[in-house]
Amino acid sequence: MATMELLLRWGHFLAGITWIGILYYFNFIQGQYLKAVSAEAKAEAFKHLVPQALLWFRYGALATWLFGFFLLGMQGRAGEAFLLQGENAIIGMGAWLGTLMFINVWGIIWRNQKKVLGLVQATPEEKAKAARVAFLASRTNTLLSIPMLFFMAAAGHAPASFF
Amino acid sequence: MCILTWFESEKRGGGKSMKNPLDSVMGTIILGFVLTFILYLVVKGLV
Repeated sequence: MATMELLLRWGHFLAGITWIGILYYFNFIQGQYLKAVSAEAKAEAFKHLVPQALLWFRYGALATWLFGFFLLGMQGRAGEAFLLQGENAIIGMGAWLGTLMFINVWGIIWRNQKKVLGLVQATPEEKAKAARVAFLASRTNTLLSIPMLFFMAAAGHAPASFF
Repeated sequence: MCILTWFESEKRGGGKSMKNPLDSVMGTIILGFVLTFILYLVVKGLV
């Protein structure tokens, strides 16, 4: 049981670092780069770089959520965590923020990025709107990641700071 | 979609447009710290 918990926690960390690392790359690095380069370089990036980054990004999000959910389930505290009960409210808040971010990735960011990348048909106006929505959703996830990581760290390492 | 458009810049009565803090990296990070503090107080009240 302890070994299984450790493996789930390890998987949660590996996938989480992949997901949030790429999220920060999109928001702190790639956006500025794409604004500065030529139209040709931008087109190349959208053809060869962005799809690969998005692939690792969205499956990283899926794996992070699954590992985290099964970890909480194995510890027998998923219910109390998601109901924000007692001490489990600390990890529960992190879990809720992570869940919102996960839904945001698959439900909003990826759906709109498919239009931007031309994987689904869209008019130029629809593409422009999809790019804006995906950008705002990505920024919202960056915003939510700050408290999410705070609660994840606090639940494991400093729960006493809430008493 | 509605939540996201809710964050969009809006024209106010005098024609002044409100800047969306999510358009800037620093605005996003500052909002993140503010939200962390608010949620800390909320969870502290629950524990």
